[in-house]
Amino acid sequence: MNKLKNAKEFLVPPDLAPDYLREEMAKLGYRVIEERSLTRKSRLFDTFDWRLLGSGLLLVRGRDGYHLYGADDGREVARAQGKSGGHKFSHDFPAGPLREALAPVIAMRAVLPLLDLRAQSRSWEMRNRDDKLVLRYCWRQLAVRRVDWRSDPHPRRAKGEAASAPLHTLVLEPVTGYRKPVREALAILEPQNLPPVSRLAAHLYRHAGFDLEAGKKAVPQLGPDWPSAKAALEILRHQYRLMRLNEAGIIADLDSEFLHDFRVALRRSRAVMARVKKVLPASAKHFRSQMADLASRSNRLRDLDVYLLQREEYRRMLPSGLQEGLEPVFAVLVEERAREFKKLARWMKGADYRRIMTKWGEFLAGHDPLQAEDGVAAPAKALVPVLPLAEKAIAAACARLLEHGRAIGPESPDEALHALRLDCKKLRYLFEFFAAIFPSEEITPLISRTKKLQDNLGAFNDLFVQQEALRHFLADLGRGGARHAAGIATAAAAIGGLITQLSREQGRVRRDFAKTFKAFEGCEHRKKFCPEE
Amino acid sequence: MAKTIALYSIKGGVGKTAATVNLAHAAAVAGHATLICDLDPQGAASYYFRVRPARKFGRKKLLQGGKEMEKNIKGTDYELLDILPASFSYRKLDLSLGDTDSRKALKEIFRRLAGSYDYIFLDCPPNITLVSENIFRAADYVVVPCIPTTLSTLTLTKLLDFFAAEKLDRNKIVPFFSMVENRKRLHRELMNELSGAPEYRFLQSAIPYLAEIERMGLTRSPVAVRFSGSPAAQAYRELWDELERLIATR
Repeated sequence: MNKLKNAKEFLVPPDLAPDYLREEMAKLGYRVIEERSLTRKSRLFDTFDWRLLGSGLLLVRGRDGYHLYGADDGREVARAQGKSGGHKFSHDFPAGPLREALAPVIAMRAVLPLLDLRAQSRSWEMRNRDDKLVLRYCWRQLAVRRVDWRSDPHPRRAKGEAASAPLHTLVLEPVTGYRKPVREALAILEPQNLPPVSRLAAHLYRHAGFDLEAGKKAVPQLGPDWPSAKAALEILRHQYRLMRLNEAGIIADLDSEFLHDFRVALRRSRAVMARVKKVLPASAKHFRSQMADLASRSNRLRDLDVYLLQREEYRRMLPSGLQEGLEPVFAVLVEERAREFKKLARWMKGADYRRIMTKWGEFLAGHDPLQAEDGVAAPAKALVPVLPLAEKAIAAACARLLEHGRAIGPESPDEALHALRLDCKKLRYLFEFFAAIFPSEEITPLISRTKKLQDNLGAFNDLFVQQEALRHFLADLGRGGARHAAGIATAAAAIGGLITQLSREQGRVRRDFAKTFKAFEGCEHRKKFCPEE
Repeated sequence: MAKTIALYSIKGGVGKTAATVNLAHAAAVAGHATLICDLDPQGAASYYFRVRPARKFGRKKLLQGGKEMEKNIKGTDYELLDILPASFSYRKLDLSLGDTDSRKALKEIFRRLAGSYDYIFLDCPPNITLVSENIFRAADYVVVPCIPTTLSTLTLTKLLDFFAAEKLDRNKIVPFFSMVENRKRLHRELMNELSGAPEYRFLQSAIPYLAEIERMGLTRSPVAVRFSGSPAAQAYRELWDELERLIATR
């Protein structure tokens, strides 16, 4: 029924004549008729981290608006009107099926214009002795060009590199119930050894020079017998690459995930330097303080991003009569965010930031742990194999987490849970850094256990911080923010309602803590990594 | 779940197959996955689509249902439109159904296909037999082409009586006027009289007697393909729109 579902597509070399199959099929007695040729221009979109492609979707803008297709079978999932070809969030699309299909996949990310595609296709129909259509085939020339826009966050191609040559593909579209003609066509094509294309979109992206793996949060590949310093450097290089990859998107303010991913990589870099002691040379020390400074410069902006991302959720927590009361609150947050963003972007574009990053990059690229620095003894553990070192660091962090966690009872102050969150985070980072040197069937379930515990503690902390922020806001409101005077009463009521909701939620999260902690504590794999007695 | 629409008439030669082919084509053009089951051993619908059944396909394979039957479904030249071609052996379908002694055998068979299509059209053989009875139970709608003549009306009444006697859902029956010749006074008068009659509930759209429809035997394609702007194509499109609206409101 759906002919595209069974279509077979092959890459063909440019010198294979489009007429080749026609002539051979005609010899077998089929009547082959050329149909009208078509030229179609379209633009392909995806998020910076390829969320659509990862979920088997393809967002395309053609002459008549946006279309969402299945990346494998080319079936249209949804369509929507829309003219602008720039970057967009899901809420920028008109309400309807396309937005509904898009939103859960891309979440807070923006879709970015990536490729302009010009597809020229010639099609032929093959008919049998009854003049019945039995097979259609199509020869396509696909010219792709990266969309050239000012704020493109993807690494640019080297200057002078030639634009990619057009690709050619051949598509066989079988007709249901007519298997023989397809078999015959495949037999004719067989000696040509044409590589089949299963995901054309991914192929096109790569062809245009995109790196589909770049943003993947894969664990660094270490060997268990690597010298510790070599392993630490590898982890740091991985984080450094992620930081650099996200810079452009932060400065262009494309979506909040660029800063988030940047900060995660930054935090992990700091964690490696803090957790893995006596491995890196003394010259690495001052980078630690520079990174702490870098993180602190973006703390407030990230907090504001989080509040603004929760705008809809906050509104939903309130009865409809109070929802509008939140708007002045958000208006203030939006203003503050704009100021914070400007500050950070200006700094990141400046010489200081660039110097820090260049120096850090040079250190990571150039430092050789086997080569002693001038006049300085190599750090004590630089050359120790990484496995025992990782085991020891993990056991220590885990013991600390267990000790602190067990001390927490229903009466313990909130601060105890906040402290535990940091213990938990440290342990999780260690697991992730060294995941490659442990058996995956042991480390993977343990990482997810640890993550669950951290999620619980993180949610508790977030709810606490949000209530604090709202309380501050309430206090400021009382101190005569004359600008919003008219809305003060509703704003206060809305904030009050929100604090109530958040505190109730915080109570629920806290009640879950004991269970989540028990699950971590009792995990078989956990016992293997930190035997207690 | 697919809606099953049977095109049926006790009388032959009333434009039943032409209606099946053109309505199914209109449904596919509107974006619905559509299947035609040609149950008439004459195989006229299959002929219009230039489709022949496989040599091994026959009434046994049809009644087996499932994979054995589905293997014989063929794509037409038009997107979203498939056909299960008729086999000449269908002329003895009554005998096979008699063996199974079931009036719901076909219903079971079509139910399995319902997930893959939006609409399943059945082109039925004329006469009232065990096959027809099976079809009445399998179909959600029994669309009946009627030439506005006294004899045609009489057969429609017979069909309604049969439904009543067999305790079948009378609401399934949807008649429409077919092969209408406006220059004939009898056609005009009968249509005037019947179109408002509550016991029949004729569709408002009618299919006129037109040369393009007759020529389908030569062109072997739906009228909307060869004569896209023609009054015939327009008439079937309107008939389909009305039928689809009716299905949507039920």
